[in-house]
Parts: sequence; C-alpha cells; structure tokens
Amino acid sequence: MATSRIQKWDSDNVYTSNAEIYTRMFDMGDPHAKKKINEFFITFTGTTSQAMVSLKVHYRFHNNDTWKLFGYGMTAGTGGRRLSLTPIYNSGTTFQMEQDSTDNSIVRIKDVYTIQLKLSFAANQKIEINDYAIEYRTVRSNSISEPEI
Amino acid sequence: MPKDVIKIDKFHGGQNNSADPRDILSNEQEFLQNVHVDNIGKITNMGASVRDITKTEATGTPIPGYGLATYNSGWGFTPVSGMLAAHTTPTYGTDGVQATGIIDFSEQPSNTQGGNIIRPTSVSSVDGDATITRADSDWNCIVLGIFLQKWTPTDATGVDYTPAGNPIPLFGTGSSSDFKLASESSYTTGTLPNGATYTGSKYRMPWNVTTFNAAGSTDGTDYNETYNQELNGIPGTGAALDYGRNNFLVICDLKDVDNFEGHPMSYEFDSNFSSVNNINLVYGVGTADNLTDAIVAAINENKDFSGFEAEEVGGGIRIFETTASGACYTLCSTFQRDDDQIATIANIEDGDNVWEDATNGTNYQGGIFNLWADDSMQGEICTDTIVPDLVMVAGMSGHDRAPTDHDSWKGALNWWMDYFDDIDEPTYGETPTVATVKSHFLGEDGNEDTWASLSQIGLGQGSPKIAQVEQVVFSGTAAAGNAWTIDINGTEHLQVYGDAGNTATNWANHFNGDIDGGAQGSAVDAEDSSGTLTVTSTTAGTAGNFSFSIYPTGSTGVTRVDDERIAFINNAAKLQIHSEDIGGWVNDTSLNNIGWSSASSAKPIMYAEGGALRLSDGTFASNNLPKVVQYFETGNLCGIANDIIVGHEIMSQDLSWKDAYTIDYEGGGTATTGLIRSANYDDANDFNGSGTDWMNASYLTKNRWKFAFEVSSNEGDWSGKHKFYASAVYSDGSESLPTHDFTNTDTDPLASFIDAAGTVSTPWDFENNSSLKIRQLCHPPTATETAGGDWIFDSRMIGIRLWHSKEEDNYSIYYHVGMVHFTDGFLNHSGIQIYPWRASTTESALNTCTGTADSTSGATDYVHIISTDEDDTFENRIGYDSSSKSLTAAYQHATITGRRVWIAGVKYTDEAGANRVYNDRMIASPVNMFDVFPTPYNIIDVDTSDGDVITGLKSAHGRLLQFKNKAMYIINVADSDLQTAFLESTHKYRGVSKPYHIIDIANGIAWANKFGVFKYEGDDVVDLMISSTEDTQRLLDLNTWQDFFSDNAIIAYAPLDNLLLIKRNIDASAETGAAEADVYVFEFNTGSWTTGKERLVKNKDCTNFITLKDGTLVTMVFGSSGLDGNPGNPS
Repeated sequence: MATSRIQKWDSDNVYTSNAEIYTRMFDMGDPHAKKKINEFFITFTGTTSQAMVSLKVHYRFHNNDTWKLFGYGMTAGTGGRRLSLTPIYNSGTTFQMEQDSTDNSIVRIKDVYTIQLKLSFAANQKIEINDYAIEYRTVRSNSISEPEI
Repeated sequence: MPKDVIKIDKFHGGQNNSADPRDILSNEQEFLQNVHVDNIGKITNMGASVRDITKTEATGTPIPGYGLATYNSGWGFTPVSGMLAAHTTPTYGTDGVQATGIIDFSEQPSNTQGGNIIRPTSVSSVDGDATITRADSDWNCIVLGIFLQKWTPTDATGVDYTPAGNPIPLFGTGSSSDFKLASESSYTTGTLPNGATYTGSKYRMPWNVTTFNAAGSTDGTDYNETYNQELNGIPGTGAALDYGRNNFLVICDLKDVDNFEGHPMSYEFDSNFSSVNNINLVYGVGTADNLTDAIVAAINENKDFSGFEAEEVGGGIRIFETTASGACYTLCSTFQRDDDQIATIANIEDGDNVWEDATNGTNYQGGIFNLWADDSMQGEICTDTIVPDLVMVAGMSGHDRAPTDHDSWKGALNWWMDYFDDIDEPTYGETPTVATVKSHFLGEDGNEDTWASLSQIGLGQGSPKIAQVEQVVFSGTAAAGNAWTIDINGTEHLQVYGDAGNTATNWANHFNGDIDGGAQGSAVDAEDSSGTLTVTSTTAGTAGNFSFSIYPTGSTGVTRVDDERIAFINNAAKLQIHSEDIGGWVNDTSLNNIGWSSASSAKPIMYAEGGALRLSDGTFASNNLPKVVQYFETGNLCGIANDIIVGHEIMSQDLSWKDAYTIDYEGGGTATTGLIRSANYDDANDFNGSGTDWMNASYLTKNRWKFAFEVSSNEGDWSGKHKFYASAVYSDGSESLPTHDFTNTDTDPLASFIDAAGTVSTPWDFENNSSLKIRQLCHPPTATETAGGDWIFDSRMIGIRLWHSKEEDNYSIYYHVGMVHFTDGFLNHSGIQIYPWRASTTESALNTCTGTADSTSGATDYVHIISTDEDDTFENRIGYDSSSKSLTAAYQHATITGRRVWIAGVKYTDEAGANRVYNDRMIASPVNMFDVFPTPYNIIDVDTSDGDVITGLKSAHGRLLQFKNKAMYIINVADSDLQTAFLESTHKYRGVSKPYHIIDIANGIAWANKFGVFKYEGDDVVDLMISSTEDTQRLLDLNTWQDFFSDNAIIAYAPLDNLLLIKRNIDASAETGAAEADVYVFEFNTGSWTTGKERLVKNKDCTNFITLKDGTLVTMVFGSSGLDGNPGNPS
C-alpha cells in the first residue's frame, strides 16, 4: 500500500561527493604579466577528528577552456588541516608545464596571465574551508606582453 | 621576482555567475555547488533533506505542490482517563543505506615506495635495490579484478549474516564489448606481455584462481567458470555468466611506451594504449582519460549486470549499489566463495580480535563494515577495524601473499608487500603474519583507530534492511466510553470498552488477536506482552513498511495540551492529522474523509486559527466543499447532566443558518425538528401542560424547539410592530445571518404538527409602551442520544440569538433581543445570564431557560424584556452586513491578517443565486470570524482589468500581497477596516504562476518567478539576485536561472539555517536523473547565493513545504525509488 513520509531539511546531512567551487579568474593584480603557478594551498577544519575531505583541483586560463587537472589530495581531522598541491605534470599541456631541473617531481605552470580554479571535493562530515591560496611568481620581463584573450 | 601568494579567506559574496569571473569581487566565486557560504570566512558543505524518522508514514500519495499544513490545537488526542495508549516506533523500516565505499588510489601512507593498488609494488621486489626505484616500464599490463561478495542477514534482526550467492564481478559481464578482456576467443593476436598464456583460444591470467570452483567451469579451465546471477532477489537463480575470462580489467600498454609510474590519477590513456581490436583493454574513453575515469567507466558499463555503479570522488572511486538492497558486501577474494570453508561473516576475523567487542557470529551488522560509523555517513569514521580484503590486484607475475590462514588478504596486500621484499626493511624476507600486517597498518602506536585513515581502501558497506516495528503500551483501566482504533494500512481495528477485559494486558492481547486475524495479518505480525502490543512488518525494508496509527474513538474527553498538528491531504482526498500528543497519524475514517471528488487533481489550500483547520479545493470541483476540522467538548447541553458533545469532527465550513434548524415552513419540506416558526404566544394553554399544548413530549418531540413571543401589557419601551428572528451563534464568535424568522400565528399544537404550511406571518403589535415576554421550551436528545449524534445543531454552535426588527425601519434593521446559550441559559444583550437551564417539572423530557418554573398561568415561565437597545444592531454587534446574500465560499488562496481571513480566487453564490467563480476576486471575513465570507459586501477587487488571475495571496506587515501571473499588488489593510484598505503599490513582473512559489520568511514573504527571487519585509520589494553591496550588480545569470525555474519549481524557507531553497521540480518523474532535487540557495545571513545538486527531496514527489514549531522545514514525499538519508544520495 502506498505510503508517504515526511522529509526534513537537515543541515547536518552534509555528505557530499560532488561539491564544487569555481573561483574567480585571478590575474594577481596584473593581467599583462606572466606568472608561474607553483602551488595551491587550502585549509580545512573538520567538525570531528574523523571528518575527511578528498579534494581535486582543476584549473583553466580562460572562461571557456576545458578544465585541466592541477592536483588532488585528502585530509582528515579537525583544526586547520592544510593541503598543499603542486601541479601534476600534464603531458597534454607540456608547453605550459615546467619541471624543476633538479627534481623532476616539482612542476610549475608557466606563462599564466590569468587562472581560474575549480575545487571539487567529497566530504563525509561537516567541514569548513577556511581559506585557499595560490603561490605564484611573476616573471620579470622588460616588455609588456599582451594577455591572451 | 619573488614568490607571492594570493589568499582568499572571505567567501560570503557567494556565487556570481552573472559577471565576468575576472571582475567579480574577491569574496565571490563564479560557481558554488553543495556548499554554504552563510558565515564570513567559511565555506561549509551543504545540508540535505532526510527522512524525519520521528514521524511514521502516512497513507497514500501526495499531490505535488499541495496538501500539507501545520497548526496547533489546545486539545490533544489522548483520553483524560480510562485506558491509555502510548505509541512509539522503535524501528523504522528502511532499506538501509546503499552499500558504498571509496577506493582511494592515492599513495598509501604505509607504502613508502609510492606504490598503490593499481601500481603493483612487486615491481620493486627481491633484487634488493636499496633505492627502490625499479623501472616501472617493465610493467606493461595490470590486471584488476573487483568482486563483491553479498552477505545477507540471517534474520530480521540484522545481527548475523551469511554469504548470498557467488561473488559479483564489477567488470565485464555485460553484452557490451567495450570492456571485455583478454580471454575472448576472437582475440588471436598472440600472447600478452609478461606471462599471460594463451590456452584453448583464450588467454589465461596467471594470478591465483585455483580456488575457483572447477565444477562450475564450462570448459574445464579455471578462468572460465560460471556463476548464476541473482534473479528476483534470489542469488544464484539467474542467468549463468562467466567469472574468469571477462571479469578482470586488463590495463595494457601494448606498445610499451607509457609507464605505470607516478600516481594513477596521472595515468593518461592516449593512443599508446590502444589495442588492435579494441577488446580486453582499458584505453582512452574517447579521448585521453586518467585511469580512474576508465575504471569508473568500466564499472558503470557493467552496472545493469552487477548492480553497482562508480563515481570519481577526489582521488578515489566511490563504488555503490544502484539500489540499496540492505545486504552487506565485502570486496572479494576467494575466501568468500560459497565453496569456501568459512561460512559466516563472523568467521572472517574470528580469533584475531581485529574487530573490537565482537563475538563469534554476532554483532556483525552491515554497519561494522562502514567506512563511516553510521548510516548517514555523518558519524565518525568507523573505529572498527576494516579488513583490507578489498581488491585483487595482480601483477602479471603474481606475488600474492598473505598471512597463514588469511588467504582473504591475498591480493589486497600486494600494495604494501614490498615491506617484505625490501632488503632495507626489518621485515625483509619474512612470511607475513597478522601481527606484521597490523603493525604496518596501524602504525607504531598500534592504535587501531588510525586503521581507517591509513587504509583508504577499506570496505564500504551499507546497512541492512530493517523491518518496521510499532509498539503500543497500554496502561490504566478501561472504563465506559473508552475506545481505541488501530489503523494498519487502512484496515481499522476497533476495541471498545467491554470487548475484552479492562486491564492493559487484556487490551493488548485483544488487539493482537484482531490484527493477526485481520486483513493485514499477512503484512504484519502482532505480539503482546504485559500490556505492550508490538506490531512488526513481516517484510524487512521499505517494501514492507505499513502505515500505522492509533487514536481514541471513544466518547471520553481528551487532554488539554498544546498539540502541534500536521495536516496532510493525499491524492485520494483523505485527510490525515499527525498529532504530537499521540505521536502519530490520526487516520480516523470519521475524520479523514473530506468527500472530495477528482481528488488526484485537487489543489487543497488550508489555513487554521483557534485550533480549527480549514480546507478548500482550489479547483472548485463539483461538490468539493470547504471543510473544517475541529475538536469539541461542550458543557451540559440544556442543563442535562453529561449531555455533551465530545470529539473531533470534520464538517462543512459553511456557518449559514441551515434549513435543518427550522421545521419546514413550506409544505414541501420534510424536516420535523428544529425551531418552530409558529411562535405566537396567545395564552397560557400553550405551555401549561394541559390538553394538546407544547408541554408535551409527544408533541414537542425530540429536537423540536419552541419559542413564543408575547406582547405584554406590562410597561416597557416596546412600541409599534415588530418581527422576530434567530441566528446561529458559534463558539469562535462567528454568527450566521438572522435567517430564521418566527411566524406570528395562533396555532394550537397538534401531535402531527409540522408547521402551518403557507402561513403568512404578521408582525407582533406592541402598540405603545409594552414589553416582551419570551418563552422557550425544547426537547433535547438525552446524553446517550447526543453521543449517538442526535444533536441537530452544528457542533461549533453554542446558541441561538434572537433578533427583532421594527416596522418603522421597514423591518430592515435587526436589533438584538437576547440569546439562548446551549449551556449557559438565557443571556441578555449584555451577555449576562438571566435564567439558567432547568428541566421542566411538568414534562421531564423537556427543558427551558426562560423563567423560574413551569406555570399553568404563564406567570413564571418567561424572560421579560422591558426595553430595546437601539444601538445593538446586527451590524454593530456582528460586524458584517445583515443583507449579505451568502456567507460561504470556496477559495484557492487564503491568508490571515488583522484578525480577518482573506480568501482569493473564489466561488460563491452571487446575488442572482448562481454559483460563480471569480478567480481575480477576494473576500474578507469579518473580524474574528474565520469561516464567514459575506458577499457581496466584503468583496475586495483590486484590479480586475488586467485579465489576470490571482495565483497567490500572502500577508505581512499589515499588507496583503496579492500575486497574479504578471504582477504583484500590495494592499494596505493595516487598520483592518475594509473601508480604508487601499492599493499601496503595483509591481509588474513580480507575480508568480503557482502558490507554492511563495513562502513565509522570518520577517516577511519571499517568492520566485522567471525574473528572479524576491522578498518583501514591509518596505520595498527586494530582488535577491541583485547584490546589496557597494557594487550593485546581478549575482545570478538570468538565462541559467530561467533554465532552472519552471512552474514545477517550489520554494522553501529553513528558519533554523535562515536560508531560502528553490527546488527544481516537485515531480520527480519530470526530470532526468535526480535533477528534481537540485536547488538554488539564498543565504539570508550573508545575502549570497549558492547551489545544491541533488540535495532536496531526491527521487520523490513532494507537497508544499511547511515549518514546524521547532523551526524544522518539512515536506511530505512519495516515490518508488530512492532512499531516505542515503549517503551521497539525500532523498
């Protein structure tokens, strides 16, 4: 026999496998200067020691570009859990990938005028994202390059 | 240039997808999904809807967008005395939680060599290379098999489990060729690299499959065994499918170019991974993809056969049941085969004490296998140790090892096995033992709590199906008037005082027998013990769920409590009321049948005041009359002890004087009860009990009421000619028109008297300075007869008010005379009791509230009205025009403000006597009369020239917000005077198309349409999609919004979180996937927007949303698919 039931909005029913954040498009204050993107940092706070976040970060340079994988990571626990992600070498975009000459595992994204990030994460419990940051270096140049349009 | 950092730590600007993402503010994001930004400096993951397990299921199916209301009553449902019953639901029937688990291919902390389950660490094995940097390029093929072993509870308790059927391969059982593997007979191009052998036109994989059941083999080879799929829920009875040859995912680099190096997320399958005939191999799915995408695609390709799906989450893969079966699953290795010696799940780790607090054969519920500690995946990660018996990963040369007697760990342990192969490790060369395994998994501290964190490949499991259990604890001693009804799936079981003994044990036992022997006896199983009745579904899971309600149906009074009610009208026009007092739904058939036709297409609108619920069908379907539900508990009627009206009733909302209250005046009528029109008092013989006068129970039969008006020569201020009338007075202060007019005739009563057909009434002539004597006599039903429903008046009615009119006013003004209160006697125009009720001493069946004693001379049996009150007119006292033509209307919208009900989109009987629909008209009730809608004088027309219809009506801050499709009108009714109400403002393109596009918010009203989302809080109409910051700008792209918003979208407000939710669709079948549950969310705390994917009522239709007194936002849902509170699948 058909039965109906009551559902309620539960702010604690927070499990998500598909949370997404598209950041603004960063130009780091100068859209005409090339930058190298070294690292991405993000700080989480879990509500319990068992709160777990699995994060994947993508990036793109222009509004309608396809997203490229930047990196991923997982952390768990309370209080200021910090993830730092370095770009994963992407053979499909080698022209903008730079590997450290002394350690091939260190990769930077180069020739960046503007960059937007997509943060995708799964979380089993309530978590907070407290901040995120991009470490970059502006490339010294004697001439001003036209930004890519 | 030095390194620099750009940091973002403010997010309260929310989503802004309208502006260019280069130009949005630093605290804004271009897109937000499944997160909240309701606090400065924080992004938190979003809530979701979940079943409210504090409330049992109701019967029937909702009407999408309509049919739910909440109100409070000062009465509960629990009897004040006698047999009492306390109802609880110890266990809600659930299908459990979809078995789910995340396989993380990230580098494992315990594997210092950078290995992972995809990348066989055995590549860095026995040569003792201290650097552990063996060339991965040697490995060109990985074989990955993921099998699931189903476990089902051995009984309804869900404590013990046993394997069910054979392991289920996640790869390659389907008919699609996309992911078939190397053993296909058509593949004849040679040998696979690294040792795969070609035998019998098939490739044999060299991992350990020796425990496969050869007897099940179709061709004598161990890789080609068959198993039977599940059919109709019975494992092993379905079609036979192969295990071996196509159930493993083979990842090959045939051209030996790419390496399995680094993190699998970076494995990209480009053209180098193509095969010559596109079989057997994981290769790019269309374009280059990473390995996890390929695995997800392979699993999903097979989902129709395996019943499992996958999605990528972060760096891992979440595998989950398509439909939760309630079973447990472990990810496979050979020990779980049904030919294995280990037969029960309790033996998996028996003796190893890996699971804490477990004893053999018990306590191994599905939850123990949860990666999360509770069903909702919101609790802490399970502290019970997770058996890493997860994925069989084999390098082509095979290096499976496991502790003795723990073959179950074989394969799964490959990924850390290099501890035993690394010459620098202290465990080099050792045979793995449980202790060494634990030491590596648990870390140096040996804390098993860290196991889960270390082992991201832990088992993810759902919870099992649970059978619904309802429990009723009876207490007290039954007494006369006690009765309880238990309704199970619409089948009522009634027990009244006298059916069984009077003890609680008797009642529980009696119900037990009645239920087991009743129509639902096969659906539920009843038991009783010491006055406790337990009713359990005979089928575990939601398929066996049943509606259960218990409510008193006796004649005893109920407790006075503040009872929060939820009213639900289903699509069969059945009203059910959830009572906080009794903790369940009242499904009383005498209460819930609202008698509407075409109920599935009805659009119920409800409002409540004074503990009474009103409901109307906005479709105005024929005979779908507005109704009221209310509890009554009167005092002694007509002064008769215990002659009371008790109980809840559903009745017509119409408060007009009913024809049934008047004995037929015209000859065509049939009523023989009510007030008698022939009301002249000519002499004392009318009441003196002699002859054939009215003081005779045979003449004044049951429910006949006699009023007599005598022109008295005693001095008074009554002059001229007068007529007399009666109106119905109701408990909430409402009053009908004085429709009953008394007839001035001098008719001797006869036994067969009905009324003088066609008698022409003449006025009472008081000439000059006379007075009025009123005599009243009635024959009320006895207490027993009233309990049986013989009382003729509306239960809301508390008395009969008497009026008179004068010739000098052309009989057009009604003046108050007094009132016969059914319990308090005769009241004068000030409401002061003149005479109480008394029984006639002449005729015991008759009662009166006039005079002090029966009189044969007429000297002591009357109320003497000396003077009239010229100011006490009907309009002054009652508040609406006495020349109104109709008092009742059906309506599509209603709101209460200024102690009036305002209804809109109405159907009523107009001046011409015709029933007409006015869908752009409003009617206001008189003050404090919440069921009276006088027309034509209380009609409010705002703008009838716009050709539009009223689509919604709300009130806030002394204003009415009248919504039409194209515009919204604000009408100022702050002083509650209809004459001074005025149209304050008109707002084009701020209308709505459906009433469920409007919702009350904390300080006003919010609504949504194609042009945006708006609020009104007493000042201006505010567009919530326009930023209120210093940089005024649109926050949400309108095109995107208009793709989202439709007539089927619905708005809700969650006061506990102070957020507004706009859900995409109330009809689950109208959307692909679960898009109906997508939401836009406005955070009032920060004035910002975000979105949610599949967060609000997934896979189900829903009613409108309401807010309970504790601030909980709820809706009623129905759907055949989807689960409640399912992790990742909020429904």
